[in-house]
Amino acid sequence: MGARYVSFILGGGKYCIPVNQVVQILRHENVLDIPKAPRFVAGVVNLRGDIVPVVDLRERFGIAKPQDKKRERIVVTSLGGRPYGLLVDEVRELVDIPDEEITPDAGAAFGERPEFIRAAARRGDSLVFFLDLERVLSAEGAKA
Amino acid sequence: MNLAGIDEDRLKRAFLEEAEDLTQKLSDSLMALEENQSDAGLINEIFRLTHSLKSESALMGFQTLAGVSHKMEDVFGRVRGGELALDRTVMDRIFAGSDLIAAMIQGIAKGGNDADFSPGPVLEGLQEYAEPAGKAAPAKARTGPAEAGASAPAQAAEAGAPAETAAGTADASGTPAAAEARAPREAAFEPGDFERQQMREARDRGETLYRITVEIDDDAAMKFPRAYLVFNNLELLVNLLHVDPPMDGAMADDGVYGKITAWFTSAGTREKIRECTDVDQIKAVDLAPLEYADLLDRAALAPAGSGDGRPKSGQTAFAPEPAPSTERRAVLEKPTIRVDTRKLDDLWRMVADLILQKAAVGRIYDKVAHAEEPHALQEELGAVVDAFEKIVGGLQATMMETRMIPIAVIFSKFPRLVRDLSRKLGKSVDLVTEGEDTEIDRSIVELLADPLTHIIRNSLDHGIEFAEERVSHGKPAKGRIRIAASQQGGQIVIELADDGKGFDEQGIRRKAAAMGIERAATMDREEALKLVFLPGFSTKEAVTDLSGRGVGMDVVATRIREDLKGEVQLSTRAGEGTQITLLLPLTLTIVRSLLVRADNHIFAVPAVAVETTQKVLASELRGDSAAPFLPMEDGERPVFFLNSLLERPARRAEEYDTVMIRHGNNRGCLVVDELLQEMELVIKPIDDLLNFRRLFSGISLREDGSIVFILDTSFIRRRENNGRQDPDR
Repeated sequence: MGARYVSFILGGGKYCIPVNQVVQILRHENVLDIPKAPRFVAGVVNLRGDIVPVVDLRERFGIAKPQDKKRERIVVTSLGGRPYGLLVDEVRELVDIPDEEITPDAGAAFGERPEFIRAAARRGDSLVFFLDLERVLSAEGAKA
Repeated sequence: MNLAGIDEDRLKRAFLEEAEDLTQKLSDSLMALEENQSDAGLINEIFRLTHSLKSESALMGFQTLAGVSHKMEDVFGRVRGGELALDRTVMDRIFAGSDLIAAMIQGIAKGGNDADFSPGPVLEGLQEYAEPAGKAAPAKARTGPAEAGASAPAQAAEAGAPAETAAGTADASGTPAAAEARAPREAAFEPGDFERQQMREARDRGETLYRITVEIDDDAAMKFPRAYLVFNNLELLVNLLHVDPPMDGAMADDGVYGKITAWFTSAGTREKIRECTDVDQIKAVDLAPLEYADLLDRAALAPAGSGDGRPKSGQTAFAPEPAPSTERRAVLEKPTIRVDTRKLDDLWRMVADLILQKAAVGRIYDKVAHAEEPHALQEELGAVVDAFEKIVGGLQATMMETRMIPIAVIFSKFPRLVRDLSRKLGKSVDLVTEGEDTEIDRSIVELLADPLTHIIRNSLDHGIEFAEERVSHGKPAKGRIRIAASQQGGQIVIELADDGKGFDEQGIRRKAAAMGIERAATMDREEALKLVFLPGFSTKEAVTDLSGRGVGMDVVATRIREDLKGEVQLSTRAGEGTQITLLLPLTLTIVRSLLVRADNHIFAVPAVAVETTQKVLASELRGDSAAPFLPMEDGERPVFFLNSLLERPARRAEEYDTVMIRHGNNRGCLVVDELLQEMELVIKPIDDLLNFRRLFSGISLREDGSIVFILDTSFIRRRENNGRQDPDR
């Protein structure tokens, strides 16, 4: 078995989430900032009446933001039936990754925030990291 | 089990509505009977109620429930015939029976089953009085499998042979090992924190919680692929919480997948969900809606003696429409029909959208009306807008009324609670309730029962003294608890007062000091009393069976404040008693609010917290700039700059727009950049990610799509003590 993923770029790294968790991909526009929110909360957008919190993954992971913000996108994902936006440098492609190529618990390979990574897979000569959305989107332990 | 053409859930819901009604009447009548044991009318009424409960539950296949009801009926048959006198022991056993019946019905309502309960001791207790001494019990078989007392064999028997007669299952219970071997493994779902969160969110979105059980033909060669197809279809349509056996782990023996059970939430129709199981060689599909509360409060609700309240598939033999019994249709003052609350919720959501659109139409009209060139259709449009607003306003008011139910639904449980607890404690207490017909939002009622129960338990356990102590202090021997509800303006006020010994102020100070609160000995009385709202605080060293268990006033306060957006006030006098006052909003869904601007954000202050708006001159402010206050005729108020609260640069000016707000007994003056309009907002829950400092109680959209943060006005308590940490936050 395998599944299809949406891959995106943060800093120099490639990351992905399952395509069936992606609701929509938006341009980085009309994001309202949140008073007294932690830095990794980029703000909130109104997506057809749904209020979508947007998390800046660069801030979350401690990765520098790109000079050129033209390709920045918000990947709207669904967790527990509720929409969340992930602000990323650039959305790449749809990839099919067979389960047997995925190494679970590979967070350690990721360095600073291993808790946000649930697995990794090798694609050619680079790694693609599988986000642990629950943890990435958890408000616990964060500081405003 | 899936009976073609019969809407099982409708039947079951109809049964539950009846049964809940009957049990409440039974409980009320029993209480009345205790006061007046010779009232033949009451005895007849109770006999009739137990009879109806028996017949209806038997019809629905709830044999254990029918068994207990039948035994109650037998006992009252003898009371009615003058064969049996109602002494205290009989009454206690009858109450135990009535409790068990209520618990079983509640269990069924939560998606469980009456067979989850072990009626053994209760049945034996009743049996003693059901038959004249020395006579055998002819109705034995009818009481069903659980008469054996052991819940495990009963469950196994029922899972293995759902449609068998009670007599048949009773046989099976005699050989539990054999019955267990036949029974398929029970599917299990113990939700973790994540699943609970998912469920809460789904509930907030108005989705329905379901459990589906799919059985694949025994002779299908490849069960896993079929199970997986169903699972896959479901995954695309619904929000899966849990699947048993798991579909994503290591592949188990194919036989395991002969029956899969999944728990999920969905806003989709049942037809759509059923389409997911449209795979060949499927033997049976059981789709059942569940109550969120059952899974969310699982630990708390598990019926005693039987593990959990987990529903089992296919155990209920659903018969066609239960014949409504005409004799017990009470004479109703107003004609009513019963409507599924989910339909009301759907309607309510549509009305909420309509309210937003009404505002949008009004805005368009304003543009037309204020255009430089008056539009030819302006007058006509104006008339339509007026009519539209009137209709929507009426619709909203009427819909709101459908959400309101009298608070009697909670209050009616308290006489029994007080009776049982006071007896257990050896105290004598009168309960007075007032304002039972005060109407309150259904969603609030659900959240209110636990805190109220807790406060009453506290009063009985820690407040009301024993009779000798009361008499020695010159008080009446009998204690008194008064619960009163009333509507005051836009709020519901519930007062719970006792004439007990009051809170032990010194004890509170000692405990606080022991907990490391340095100012415990020196803080003023009011502040010291507020300490009981601190998490984990209890003045009684030994945790008693009744109101201890680590659940104290702090939990009550948190529930009232956070879940109900209300306020708790405490007043107590040593030796004279305690009064706890709850101030609650009328509804949690639509809140009339004053919109204000601070920097580039729009905020809403709930109208209930707004006293007035006024201009304040900078020269009127006193105190240092970190904690300014405004002297007013009725005392000074702390001044809050909304920009500063939000850590935005504060705008300094000669004159400020302010909102005078109150939260409970606290008042404050909130400085904003601009006062906007007052409007009704449809409140949505706010994600934790967006509410780190708990500054907001919700989030909402204006009709133009802009986002509004609803301010949690409790922040004004935080600066009450010149910036000291407020003990009750």
